[in-house]
Amino acid sequence: MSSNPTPAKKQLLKIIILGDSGVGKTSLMHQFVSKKFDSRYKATIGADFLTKELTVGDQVVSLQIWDTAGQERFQSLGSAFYRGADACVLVYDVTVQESFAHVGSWMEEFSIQAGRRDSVLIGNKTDLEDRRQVPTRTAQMWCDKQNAEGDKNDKTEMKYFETSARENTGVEEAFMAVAAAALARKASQPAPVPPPSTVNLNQNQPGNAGGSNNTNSGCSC
Amino acid sequence: MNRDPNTDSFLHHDTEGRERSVLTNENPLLDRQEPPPTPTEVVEEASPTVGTPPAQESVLPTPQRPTPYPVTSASSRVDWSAAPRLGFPPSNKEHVREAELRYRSILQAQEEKREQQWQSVCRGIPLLASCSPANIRHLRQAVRRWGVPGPLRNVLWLTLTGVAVKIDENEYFCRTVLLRHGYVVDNLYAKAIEVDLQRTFPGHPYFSDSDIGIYKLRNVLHVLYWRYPLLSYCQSFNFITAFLLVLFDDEERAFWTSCYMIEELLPNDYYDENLFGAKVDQLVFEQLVKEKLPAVDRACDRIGLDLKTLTPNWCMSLYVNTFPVQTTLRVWDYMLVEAASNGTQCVSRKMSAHLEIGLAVLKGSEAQLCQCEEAGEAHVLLANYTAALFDAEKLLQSAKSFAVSEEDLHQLRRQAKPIVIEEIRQREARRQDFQERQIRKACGSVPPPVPSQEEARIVVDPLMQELGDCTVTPIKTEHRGTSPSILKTTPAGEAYLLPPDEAGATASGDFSFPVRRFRRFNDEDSFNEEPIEMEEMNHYNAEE
Repeated sequence: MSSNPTPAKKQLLKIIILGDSGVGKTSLMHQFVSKKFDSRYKATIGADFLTKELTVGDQVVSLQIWDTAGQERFQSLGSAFYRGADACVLVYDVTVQESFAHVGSWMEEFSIQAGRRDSVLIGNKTDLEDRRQVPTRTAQMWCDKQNAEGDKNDKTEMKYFETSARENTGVEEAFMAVAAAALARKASQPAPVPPPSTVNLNQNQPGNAGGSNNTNSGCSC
Repeated sequence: MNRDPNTDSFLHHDTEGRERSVLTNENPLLDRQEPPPTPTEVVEEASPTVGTPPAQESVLPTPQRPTPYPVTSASSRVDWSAAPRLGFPPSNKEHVREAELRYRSILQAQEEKREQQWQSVCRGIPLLASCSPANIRHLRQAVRRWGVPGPLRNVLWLTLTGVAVKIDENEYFCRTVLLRHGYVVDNLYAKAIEVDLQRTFPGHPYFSDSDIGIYKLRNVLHVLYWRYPLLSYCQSFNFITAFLLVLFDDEERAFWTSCYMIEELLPNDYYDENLFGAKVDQLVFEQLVKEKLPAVDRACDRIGLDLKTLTPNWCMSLYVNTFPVQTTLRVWDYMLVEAASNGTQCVSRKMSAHLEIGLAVLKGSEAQLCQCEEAGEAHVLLANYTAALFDAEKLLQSAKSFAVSEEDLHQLRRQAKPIVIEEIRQREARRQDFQERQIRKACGSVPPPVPSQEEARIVVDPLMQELGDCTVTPIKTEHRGTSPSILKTTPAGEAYLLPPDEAGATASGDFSFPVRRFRRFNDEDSFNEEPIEMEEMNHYNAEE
């Protein structure tokens, strides 16, 4: 993988794809990385991982894409996958209202676990236009709302894309946008945010593990 | 149809065993009520429901009658357990196909030798439920020495795990449960099962529209749902059960073997709402790597490879999608029968087998891992390595050398539990904090009413309410960490969740057989106790 010598400038970006089960996360990743579409992917357990090199502006970027499991309980395994993520891709299915309704909670999960970073919203499966339940305007409004509520000094905005992994429309654009946003953020904030505390079985008082940097009062341990 | 011709030749003298086997030929109960449909008929009956929720879902108000299912004794027209690669399509990766070709003759020779050795061992021994303790001991030794021969795999798994006895004692269990309680309808698990049915081995002909795999898989997943009210349905049950169905083509056998894996091989809380046990095992695995593979541990530290990202993929579906099928079978041999202790009792489990396999994988790729420059490279390396790992015997040898004793494993898990609890608490606290801030932002400075702890609330996203043109949908039930509840709707349209106890009662409907309850991590004192005691398996009397 590292056989061709690249300049030391090569940036590593970690992107994580989130969204409900069956919205097409795996399809999007495979379409973007290998330009392939299979109508029947296996359900993802834990997370899958692919890499792709691309050029954003004049910079070579190595994109690490994590495709996560959609079932809600798998969120609790997330911390390992979210750690150090630069951006996330929120995916919903335009033919399933519910999957759009859950986008907020996926974003919340990402914010909680990785700190608020850049994300794009993707409405997938636009090839099934006749079964559409979520109008473009609704999703766009939701994004605008997020942008309006974001930090005043935070100038990055959440962009909205509609894609069809089946027909390969909009996929490239969406991933390029998220890569560009993450790259811009990285450039403006060179100091990496320290990852959340890691836990270690060797700690003498496991009950207090991680307690030192716990800023929340909710812990009663 | 009895689809075990190979087994029959081995069990030549086993008249008793065959008489008692549940699977022999058609289901007599069913025959009385309706003639067993041929596979073609079944497919025609089944196909309308594939992909669409059961028809009764829309008519829902009061206690609805269980959905009718055609529970049947029909078999697949192909014996997939004897097909090359169990009928799975060849890998789409070039290097995997090459490796398979390279290993084909080696694997074949191994298999032939194994069958010869077994010919002498098990001739005349009654297997399945009628196997005596002495014979079980005898067979275990043989299994450990030579491995499990392909044609006997089904029968040996059932015999040596004690599952055969359970099937025998609970005749027609799945069928009875489904006839009485029906499919789960109108909740998120029903939807999840339906979505995943289409995404479980999509390339396998058994699970295509022309065979009955999906149909049987649906039955078993719903019975598992009824059996585990606190686990409901967790992704990866689909893979475990489907893999077993490919081998057995029988709901009862696949169901009870899945139960064996979920209940006996893995901790009770492995697949729960927080995946508590899976998180504990992530830490345990890290610790084991630290102790047993220091070089790998150093390499991981250096390149920033988080071992926690490996274990869920490997262990939750018990390596089903990790290795080539041939190797997965041997790995399951190891987990189910080879690694078990030498006792005479039917059930003697080895709960650390899945972790030992993981260690063996890391050991096998150690040299290459240590040369990786960054974590992504290591992930790609491991994925390629496991996908082309055809030398199962070497892997199992290596796994055996990492044997972790029951006591050590228990100790490691005990150490890890408080850390996981703490992690979940912190996450919960961060979430609450975040939500309060969001709600305050959305509704001005008036804090929202604090719901009582008993009553989980439904958070309606304030943004969703403000957006005029979409219906307000409850986005998330805040009910993590406690047992699953049932969503109720009052006539006024308010939704509320029943407290766990009540919910359990409703979920199981008119269950008349005991359902195993799992302890939760928030039972404070359960961690100060010795290993979670499993209730003695009741003899479920399904006819009761």
